Amino acid sequence: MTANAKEMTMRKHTRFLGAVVLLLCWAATGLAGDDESFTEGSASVGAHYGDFNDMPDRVGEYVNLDGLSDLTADFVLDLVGGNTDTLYRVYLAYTDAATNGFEFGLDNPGLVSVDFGYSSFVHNLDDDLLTNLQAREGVPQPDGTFNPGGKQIYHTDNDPLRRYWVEYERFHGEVKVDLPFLENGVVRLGYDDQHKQGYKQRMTIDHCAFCHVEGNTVRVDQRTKKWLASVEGTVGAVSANYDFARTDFADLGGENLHRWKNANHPVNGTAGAEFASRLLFEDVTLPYADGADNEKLTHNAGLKIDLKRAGSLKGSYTHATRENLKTQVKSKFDAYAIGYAKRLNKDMRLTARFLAYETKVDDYFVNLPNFRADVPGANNLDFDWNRISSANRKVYQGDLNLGWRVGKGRHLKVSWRRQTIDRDAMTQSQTTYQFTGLADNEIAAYMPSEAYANETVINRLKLRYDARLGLKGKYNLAYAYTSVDKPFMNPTAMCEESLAGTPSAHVDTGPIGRLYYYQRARYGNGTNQPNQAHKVTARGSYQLSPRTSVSGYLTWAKDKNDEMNLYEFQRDMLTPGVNVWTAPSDRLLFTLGWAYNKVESNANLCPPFFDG
Amino acid sequence: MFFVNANLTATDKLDFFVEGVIAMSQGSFTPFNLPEPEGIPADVHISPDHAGASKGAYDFSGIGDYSDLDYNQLEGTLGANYKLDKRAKLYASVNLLDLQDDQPYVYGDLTGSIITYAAGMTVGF
Repeated sequence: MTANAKEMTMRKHTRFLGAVVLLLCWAATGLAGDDESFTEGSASVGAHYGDFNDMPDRVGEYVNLDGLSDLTADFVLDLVGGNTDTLYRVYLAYTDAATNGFEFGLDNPGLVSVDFGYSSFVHNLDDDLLTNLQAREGVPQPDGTFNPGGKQIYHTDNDPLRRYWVEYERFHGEVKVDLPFLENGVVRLGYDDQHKQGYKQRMTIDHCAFCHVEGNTVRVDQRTKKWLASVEGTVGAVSANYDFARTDFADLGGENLHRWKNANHPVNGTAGAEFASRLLFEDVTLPYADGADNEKLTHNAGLKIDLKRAGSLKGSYTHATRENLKTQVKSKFDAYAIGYAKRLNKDMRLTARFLAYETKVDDYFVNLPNFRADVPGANNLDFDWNRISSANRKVYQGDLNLGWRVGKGRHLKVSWRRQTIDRDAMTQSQTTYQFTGLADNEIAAYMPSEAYANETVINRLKLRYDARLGLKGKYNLAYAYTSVDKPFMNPTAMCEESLAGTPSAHVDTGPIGRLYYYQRARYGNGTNQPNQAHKVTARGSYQLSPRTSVSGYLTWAKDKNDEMNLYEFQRDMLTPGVNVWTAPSDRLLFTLGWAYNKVESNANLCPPFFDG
Repeated sequence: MFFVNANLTATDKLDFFVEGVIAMSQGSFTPFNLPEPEGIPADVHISPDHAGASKGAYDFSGIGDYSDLDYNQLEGTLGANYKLDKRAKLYASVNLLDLQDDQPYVYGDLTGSIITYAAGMTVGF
């Protein structure tokens, strides 16, 4: 049987099943059970038909476009029932072969509860045509015109007519068993399975940098399985819990191969030896876009002690390990948290929390062939390096919150947070290459520069005021100020400057001979993270009449970073909105809304151009 | 972004409903150009070749236009319900998804629309 024939047969079965369910439901109307049991819900059976014009992928980002133009049966069944001991819920929804799902729940308090569910849908993806990557240098002529030069950027879309999409499927289930011999005693077992299948576009780059960009089609087949187990209970004033989770991620998409071409000068064409010596590989087919196979184990233990009038104390510890089974790179995560809450008097409540965690990924030794090893005078440089993961960090965070009931229906909340983030990769990211001398061929040594900062310190103060407007409305106002010392940035990331007595960074007539890209000294810092941030929010709602109510909100934020060496970063955001609900008569009901969002920011740009 | 949701109970058996969302999105870069580096004579364009000769000039003045994004999206549903009895009703609806791309660029012209007609029967119990 062909795939189409199978789909047609399935649709016929679906229509038949839907019609049967609907007739049974109608026939069963009024046939409720005994006095202690009940069943409520609805069942819909129908059909839909559609059509599209032009490009449907973006406007129908989550619409299954395959078979849209066929008449397709759909149905929804949603029912809740039970008796004095047990509740259950059944939900079935079928829109088409790729968009459907179900949920099933059963709850018998004090004994067991069960939840299962499945859902699937399609996500249509864009195809980057790459046409913006097309530029070529113009060489100025005496008459004011320009001839084509050697520096250029171009693109190739290897699959221009391809549609890209991913189908998501998720199944989840949990069984909870109550332990009658233990106060609040519960054991949980769970399973979660997510599967993504389809095709998407991946880019490859040829030559030294981004000068030839190609769009390729790769198959997506990724699966994430998660198993969960937990136990919790209370003995006297002490409550404890332990959770375990195992998560496996596998990329089953198969090997993607790409042909990297001969490295030739884009204009001169034949300067292969000069060109290829600067590359790690050329004229070869290699795998790319190879996803990870990860295994993650997580343990979490928590404790809560009720200190009666002295408040309550909570603490937890989490330990997680992750291994990429393809590369054997491992990481571990440890987190400690402690919290204390106390009511100071009948109007004031104080909470304090402290959190510390560390992420540590194995260092990875990047073993590279020596740079231009076969080229005389090129100094046969060794660029092997030990990669320290940028995910590595130690974070310490403290929070103090004071809630104060300042009057009837009026509350004030003051919160302060201090967070420090220590990243040991920051020093490495600032490594630059510096000259050891000025003589020809006395090439650079690469030396770590002075560390810009390893540690970011964030202080945030928040104030929030909540109040009622009589019996018909309420509003709140909030303000937050954040100050960041040494926000995350990419130091010395961009823009070059002239070196060692040369008139520019691009000539070989100076005392140091020809310059290569790695020898050029970058000096510009770049980030989109602020060192100062203000945020104001206001929300309110009011019932104008029994038939009309209005609500509104406004968020205004202003971020800036004035500690960079090239430019001052700014980001302004304004987000107002209004919603109105009105029922002019018993037969007419309106809900109206308006939302607006404006974000304006700046960045510094130093565009690299390939100097063939 | 504007949205509206309205229900009209025309008779005891017949009611109409309409839902609509209009979203207008715009974005762009402020026009800019690449300044000449300091120390380069005015008649020498940036990025001279290895011999020190002028090799080219770059014009970024078009980026302000190239970067423009301008989408107008409409999502609307018009439908009706007809009660057969206290628990059963027939329904019919038309759903329109429409996107107008007024500044096509990286992903091409994304203008497109999808219309879907649906009808069926609902039973409550």
